[in-house]
Amino acid sequence: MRWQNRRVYVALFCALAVIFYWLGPFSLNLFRQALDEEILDELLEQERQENLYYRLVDEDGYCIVTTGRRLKPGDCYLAEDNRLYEVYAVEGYLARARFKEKIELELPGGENSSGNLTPALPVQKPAYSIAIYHSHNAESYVPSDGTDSIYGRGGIHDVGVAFKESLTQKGIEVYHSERLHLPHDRGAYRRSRVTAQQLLKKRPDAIFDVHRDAAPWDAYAVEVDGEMVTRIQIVVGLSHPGAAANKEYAFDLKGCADRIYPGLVRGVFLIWGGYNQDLSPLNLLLEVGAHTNSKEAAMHGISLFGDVVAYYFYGPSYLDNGAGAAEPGREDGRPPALYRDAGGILNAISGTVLGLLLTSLGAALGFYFLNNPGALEDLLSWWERAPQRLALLPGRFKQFVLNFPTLARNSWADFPENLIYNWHRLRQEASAAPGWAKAAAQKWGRRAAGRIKIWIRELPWRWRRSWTLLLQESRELPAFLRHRLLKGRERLEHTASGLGRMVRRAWPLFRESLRLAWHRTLVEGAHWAALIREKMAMLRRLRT
Amino acid sequence: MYARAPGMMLIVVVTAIIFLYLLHRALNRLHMDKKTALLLVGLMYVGGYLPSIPLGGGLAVNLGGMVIPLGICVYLVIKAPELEQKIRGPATAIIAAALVWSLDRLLPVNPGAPGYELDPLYLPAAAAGLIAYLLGRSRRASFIGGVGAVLLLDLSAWIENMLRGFRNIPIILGGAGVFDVALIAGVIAVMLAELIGEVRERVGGGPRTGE
Repeated sequence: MRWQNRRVYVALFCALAVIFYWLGPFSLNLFRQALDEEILDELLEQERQENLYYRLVDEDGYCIVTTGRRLKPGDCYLAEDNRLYEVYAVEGYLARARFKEKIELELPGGENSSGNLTPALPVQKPAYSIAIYHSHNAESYVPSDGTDSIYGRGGIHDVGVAFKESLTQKGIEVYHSERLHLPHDRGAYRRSRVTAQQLLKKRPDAIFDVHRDAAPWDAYAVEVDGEMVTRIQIVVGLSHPGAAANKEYAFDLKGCADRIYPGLVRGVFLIWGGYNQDLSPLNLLLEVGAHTNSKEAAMHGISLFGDVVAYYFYGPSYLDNGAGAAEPGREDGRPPALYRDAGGILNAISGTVLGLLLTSLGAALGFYFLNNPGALEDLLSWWERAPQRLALLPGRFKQFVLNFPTLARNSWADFPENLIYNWHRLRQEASAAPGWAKAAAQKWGRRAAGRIKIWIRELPWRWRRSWTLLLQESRELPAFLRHRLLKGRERLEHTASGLGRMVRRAWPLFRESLRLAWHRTLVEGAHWAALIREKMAMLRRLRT
Repeated sequence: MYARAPGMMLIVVVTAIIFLYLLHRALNRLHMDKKTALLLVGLMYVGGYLPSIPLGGGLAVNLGGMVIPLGICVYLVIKAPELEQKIRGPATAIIAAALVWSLDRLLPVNPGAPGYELDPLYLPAAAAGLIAYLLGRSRRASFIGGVGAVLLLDLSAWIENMLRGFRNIPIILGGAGVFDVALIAGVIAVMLAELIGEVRERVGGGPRTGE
């Protein structure tokens, strides 16, 4: 391969990595899908009448959730019981999902946590404001509005108003944008981006895009104290770089809701799409009931969710109906959001930031090498000369070792003089320092000395504690290792059986395509052989 | 988990800086020197935070998100040496807008449906970049195409609303300021055209091989 070409491939790889990171996988069968009729994301009228909704089932065939969202492999769902599932196959309206893991949505600072989690930064002050908007204004509720879609201000706006009232009653400021993003098509999210950005300029604590789902009524409806309430579903879009933070926030909010109103949040969908969630890590899409539920039930559901939001961001004192009593062990009155810079969210953020920086670096390097033809050769020659430089190192090291006694002798001889000189210099500099700096240095020096004294006093105790811990852990180690091994074997078996299933399913297809390829090769080969024979004959004829 | 927590700030700031850097690079590739490009990025950022200018009938225009980018487009058209190059940019915008408009109607309302994963946010960018490349491997045309396509799409939505009798639905052209779809489309389109064009040149033995 020539160097020039290799450079191109390096640049191409870097750039493609960035494009994929930003844009997400772009499916090539776009037009095939577009030509099929199954392209509308929202279910068709006919489908709804025939009760054809998407059903997510686990490996045992148990239905986890029913939804109007068209599912596809790779989508994830955090169910009500905090079990995370991933869709691996979609057959018609049946989406098969496999169980991935159980997510622990324990609130830090609560009764179950270790108790030593302190807020990462106590200076954070909430803005006491929440923003609400509707990307799809047409969405409506059949039992109350008479139709599922109103071209203009649909029933979903009333749900937004209920959400707003629930929060304003608690003294929280709400920016509720009723701006319409018509016409109702795929561009609605592009137009609602303006709304979201303008709401974000007011610096709210969180921003919600309120929607409704399409599903049978019993998928969302529950009865609480004789009143019908719809549940809420949170949707997180994965096709933007900061999705990990939005996901952590959504899980966190669900964990909070589970403690105040168990079952209110039906689950969290992690699906492809942006939904303008790239504008803020605190932007979430809510689905309040389905078109088959009554608007009143949806309004009741969202006002309960308002309690959750108020509690999450502003603490138990913002719960006006005594639901705070359902929160044992949280007498400190601090909002859960304050604790959340420790743990998963921090990992998500650091991962995202690191990923962003690395991909940007990759892109910058890719374009640099693309535009500077000489740079890669320089790098290469540097790399090629590296062994020579390395070969010189032992000689240098040897020289250093040989010279060391002389160096040490000289240093030792100069040491007293150097010490005295430096001490004088330090005193001179200190005397020139302003008074407040001297006082501060003295204060800090005294404090440090105190700390060191305490540390020395505690040293034997620390030693003892470490020793007992070590002993205890070494006793527990075999059991722990055995457990890990068992777990590992389980996982290995699971993977192996999955692979086996895949191979068994793919084998006939593979064999068939191999047979076809062989057949094609034979035909092509015969064709080429005939062609070559013909040309050779022609050449021979020409020669004679 | 507050918007002002350092982690949250970091994530937003890093994303913003990377986008602004890309914008600066894109302008730099559009025959502008680095200082001018930086000044324009600054103006667009500040302009995005100024109130939008109402044009009547619910239509309004944002200074940083649409007026300055359009100004850049006009400048690029005027500076183009030949008539063919002058026409290429607006032509890209019109074709890309038509393509995206029809895809908006053909394809699912929600992103993420099976077989169609590209977010509507990036659709104008991809369309403008590819069409500009096909029309003549032009960075200029891809920028004009990206910004112009979003402008035309917003205008078409406004006209459609007017025709349907919704007279006062606000449509703010470039309303999200420097992070608006218009500029995202312009920048990504330039990057796409650059990527395809450069790679194509290099693989094909290219005019600028350094020999």
